[in-house]
Amino acid sequence: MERQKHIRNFCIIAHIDHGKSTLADRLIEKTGTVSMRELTDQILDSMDIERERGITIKLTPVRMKYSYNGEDYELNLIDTPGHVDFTYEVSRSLAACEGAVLIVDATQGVEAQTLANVYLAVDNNLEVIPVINKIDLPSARPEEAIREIEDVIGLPAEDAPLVSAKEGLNIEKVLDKIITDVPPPSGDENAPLKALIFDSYYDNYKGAVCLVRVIDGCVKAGTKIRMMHNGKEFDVTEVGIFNPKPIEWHSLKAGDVGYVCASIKNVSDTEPGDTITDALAPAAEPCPGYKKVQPVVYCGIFSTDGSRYNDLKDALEKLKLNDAALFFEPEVSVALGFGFRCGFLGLLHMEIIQERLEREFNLDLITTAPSVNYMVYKTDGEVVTVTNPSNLPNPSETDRIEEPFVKAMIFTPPEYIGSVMELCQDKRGTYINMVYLDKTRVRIEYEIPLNEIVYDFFDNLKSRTRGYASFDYEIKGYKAEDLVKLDILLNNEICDALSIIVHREKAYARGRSIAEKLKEVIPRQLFEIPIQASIGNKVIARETVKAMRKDVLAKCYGGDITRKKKLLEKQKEGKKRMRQVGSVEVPSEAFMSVLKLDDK
Amino acid sequence: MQKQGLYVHIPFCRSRCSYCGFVSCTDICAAEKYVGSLVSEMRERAGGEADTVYIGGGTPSVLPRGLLTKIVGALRENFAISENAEITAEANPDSCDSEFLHEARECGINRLSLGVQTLNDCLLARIGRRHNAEQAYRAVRSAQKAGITNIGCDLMLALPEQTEKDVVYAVDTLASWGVKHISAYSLSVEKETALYNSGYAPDEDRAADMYEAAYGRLKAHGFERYEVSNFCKAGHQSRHNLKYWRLEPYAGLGAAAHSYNGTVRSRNTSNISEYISGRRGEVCEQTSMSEKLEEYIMLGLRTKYGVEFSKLNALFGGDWLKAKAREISELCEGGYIRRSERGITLTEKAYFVMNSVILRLI
Repeated sequence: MERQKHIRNFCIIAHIDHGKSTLADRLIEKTGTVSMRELTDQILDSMDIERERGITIKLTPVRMKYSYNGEDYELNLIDTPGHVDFTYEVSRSLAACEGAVLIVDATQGVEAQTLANVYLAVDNNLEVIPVINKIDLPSARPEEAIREIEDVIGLPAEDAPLVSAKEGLNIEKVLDKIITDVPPPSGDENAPLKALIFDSYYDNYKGAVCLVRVIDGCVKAGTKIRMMHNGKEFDVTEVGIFNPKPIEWHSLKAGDVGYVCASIKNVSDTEPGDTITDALAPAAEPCPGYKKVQPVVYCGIFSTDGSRYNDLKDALEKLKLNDAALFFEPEVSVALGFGFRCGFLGLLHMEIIQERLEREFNLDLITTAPSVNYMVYKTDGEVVTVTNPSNLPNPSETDRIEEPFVKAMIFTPPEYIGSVMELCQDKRGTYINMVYLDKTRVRIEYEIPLNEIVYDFFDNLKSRTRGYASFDYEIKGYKAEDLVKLDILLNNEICDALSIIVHREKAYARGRSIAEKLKEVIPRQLFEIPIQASIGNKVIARETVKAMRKDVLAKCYGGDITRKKKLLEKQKEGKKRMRQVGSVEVPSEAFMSVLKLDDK
Repeated sequence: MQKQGLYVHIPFCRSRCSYCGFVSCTDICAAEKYVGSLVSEMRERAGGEADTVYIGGGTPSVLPRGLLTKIVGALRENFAISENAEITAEANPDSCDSEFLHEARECGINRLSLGVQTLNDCLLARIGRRHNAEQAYRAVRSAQKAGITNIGCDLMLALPEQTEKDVVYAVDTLASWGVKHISAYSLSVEKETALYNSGYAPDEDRAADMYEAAYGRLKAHGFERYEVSNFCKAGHQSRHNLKYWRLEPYAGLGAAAHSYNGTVRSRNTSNISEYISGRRGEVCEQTSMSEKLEEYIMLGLRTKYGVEFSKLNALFGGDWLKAKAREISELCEGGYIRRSERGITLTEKAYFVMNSVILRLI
């Protein structure tokens, strides 16, 4: 127990841009964990994309040393992803801590995502330490931020440290607060081993590496461990801590945060939320809160160059090594050929994977419109889940279709209330609640089908509120709705990759705008191309791409053939980016462009 | 040995037209020195027979008197120019005066290519041309009087504010003047020209409408389309230009001039002062068999003669027809190409959209 009194396990909760990574960097710097020379900005965000976007996806814990009142303490910072897609991962990280530092931007106040994660922290019985950041900015209004924390979240915040992570101002006050306010861990070193996995990653040499918080007991190299939910057993080869780079350690005991390697080949055997115990002396019960992670958003991913199917497969497999939440299975599209139906935790997760595939694996992708998981109740009593619109059973065999709903929480300045509500209504939302947080901010809650969220809700919200609104959602459940499959026909043939599932009432408008959009992006070809949107056999919208009338190289002046050839070659290159759908050449952008439709 | 064509580039103009992206300069004082460099280049590259000569530009008619004679003289000294050679000079109506014509006639020019572009004076001014319709008329008449009756005129289509009526009027009028050859080019707006900077982009449908209008009138006046943009009275094809489309050899002399010897394509520096100082800055590019095949299809299909299977097979090094069987049958079915024993030609409707056809065949 004496040892644990000098340990503090905490995480940082913040809205995107509120300075989480910067504060983490300052804490690391202040405690001398990393020498100044090694310190590059935002140490914890190890992926390029994270750094560029300024968001954290993967959790990287770090152990720091700090002296307070003459005593040495060991602080374990467990970084959390700040995005709704990773709510479950956040909840597991929170479960590994006793305290949370809540960063609130002095210029912006409390945001939707912050709130969702603070509630998670409170649910996990964490001591929440509010910190007001960016006080160096001229527009900072720390008193208002403090009042908001007290009014909106209900946390006392009068003695919250006022800091500037960027300028390194008052950082030690945060560290002091962590020591004084966050309770030390109180596990039993002698009890059977119980270690919570809050994340894992794949290492080429060590295999899957579990990031754990030891609750009770002790683990070291040689321990035979068992994953309590998964049931699999492994022999521990190495344990260690993060400094912030992994360093091998003799053992991890109750209260410690570190990693465990056990020649585990597959990250899917190291699920966040699972509990590691000693196979020979197992704990009676695992840590609470385990959930099997299920994808909520799906889309088809194809390589623009159809011959690179195998490269795409390899790339997905490599990403999957590090990302147990990524789901994929082969899919064949008439229009796009061989590819994969992929499942993601949310839209950001989807975007990140797409971006990593393109960037890290140098692939050119065609992605189809995102879909959600529909539950189709057939007349014969069978229930099927559908993630690809093309697989939707025939309406004559369908009793009803249920779709997932979310509770959406939107924070906005009051002048945009009308506009935000209009958007929510338009997205088939049901009003739940609206609360004035103060004169300048309102919280609006709606229940909205996820299907509507995955289209263009966020972009639309941002543009309607000039970027002032913030937004978060959680899945609430399923409801039966009047949903139909909307098909797009190019030159009288269905292009399966463009089919979507949509509410009947919205089908007309959506069909019309998709047809209009396609007319813009499909280039004129030798013959006229009708573009039709249909439900079943009923055509509900039609546009026409007129036949091409001029496609000829200009005068070849003075025998300059080379230039002509180059022009033609450029045109040929352009054709390579086209997909042959029946007789029609469709540019790969076309499949993406229907994702971003302006509803107005 | 196949007879070659000779191209001589005269990069001088009185002023620059708003659509022009070619290599030219308005400092006509440099012409004397330039012609000196031309003559040296001819000496360097002397030899071989030529049956066509094309003196283009720029504006050859702005050359100070005597220089054209000097150029043609030097050509004859360095190359064996056939008795019946086609010798063309380009001219602009505003500088195509009787002195120029007299000199041209004297030195053996037997074909004139006039940059008429349009006969609408407002349009001419708009695109920065120095002449008007009246001057175009006088140029044609003077040339005919001077004894140069093989006259071709260039017309431009899809100019800003041009109408089909303008096009029809120009074709009808030129036909009535007795010109033998009309080239009708759609304006292509090249980057870094005044027109490009003005933001003008020709509309595809408008360009097609004008082309069809021009084609209709030309046919009515007995002009045959022997290349997508070139029309002539019987026997008046530009023999020189045909060489480009048939992959026949030509030597380009002067700044920015292009040459082709049957395997290597090369071009001289486009920097006029560099050329004058005696540096040709030649850039060569070997063309492979497969490139040659592509060129043959790309260029051959522009003409009414089309492409021949014997030549395609030779360049392909196998049975080209078999390799492209699916494409050919689809294009035949769609009515875009016509297949004969000898080869392939484009159908009427494919001419103005031929890139889509060509891309399927290469």
